[in-house]
Amino acid sequence: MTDPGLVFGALADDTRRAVFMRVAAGGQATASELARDLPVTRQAVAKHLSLLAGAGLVESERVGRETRFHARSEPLSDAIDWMATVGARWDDRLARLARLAHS
Amino acid sequence: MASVTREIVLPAERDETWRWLTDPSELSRWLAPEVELEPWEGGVVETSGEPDPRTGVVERLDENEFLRIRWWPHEDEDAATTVEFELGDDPDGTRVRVTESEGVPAEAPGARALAHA
Repeated sequence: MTDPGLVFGALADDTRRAVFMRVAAGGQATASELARDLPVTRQAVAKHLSLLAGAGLVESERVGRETRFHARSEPLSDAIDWMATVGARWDDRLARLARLAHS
Repeated sequence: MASVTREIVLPAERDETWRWLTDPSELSRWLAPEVELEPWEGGVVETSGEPDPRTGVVERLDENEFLRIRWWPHEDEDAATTVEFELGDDPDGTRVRVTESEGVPAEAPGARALAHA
């Protein structure tokens, strides 16, 4: 599983989030297409894509001379699962602590 | 860094609340079925008897104020998380704020610098 911190960290930046949303919205995109649609250079887009790929949020595919990027949702749902699982454990533990305190 | 936070107000004084958080026999009544905890910095933490048994260490301890432990599933220190208990005053008793975070806390030496990512 991708480190949840890496996933949220990758999406904490406004521009990077815009890049991810744009890839997810279109299903796929190249760095050049993204640079055309967003107010950032192609080099900046490439850097953001590389960080998103590091968090597992996009994956690349060579199609002829192009590199196309696809969005992946698994790291997001894994990160949310982590928060739900850990949160539920604390809900149980603190409910037991509250019972102990009220007894 | 991903984290979850929960808050609870207990109808008790600080020192009694602190005992629930640091005395192994009290911890065994709510944190996990069996809990070992050496209540000093560097002390060993061990939970068992539940599906997710953990080993860890007390990282910081300010009596009646703050406790931070770092723990991980047995044999898997890479999956370590940090748990912080912060005590505060409340008209109805003592407030306990619990935060569990994955990854390395920001102030820890060698913390991964996500800010530079």
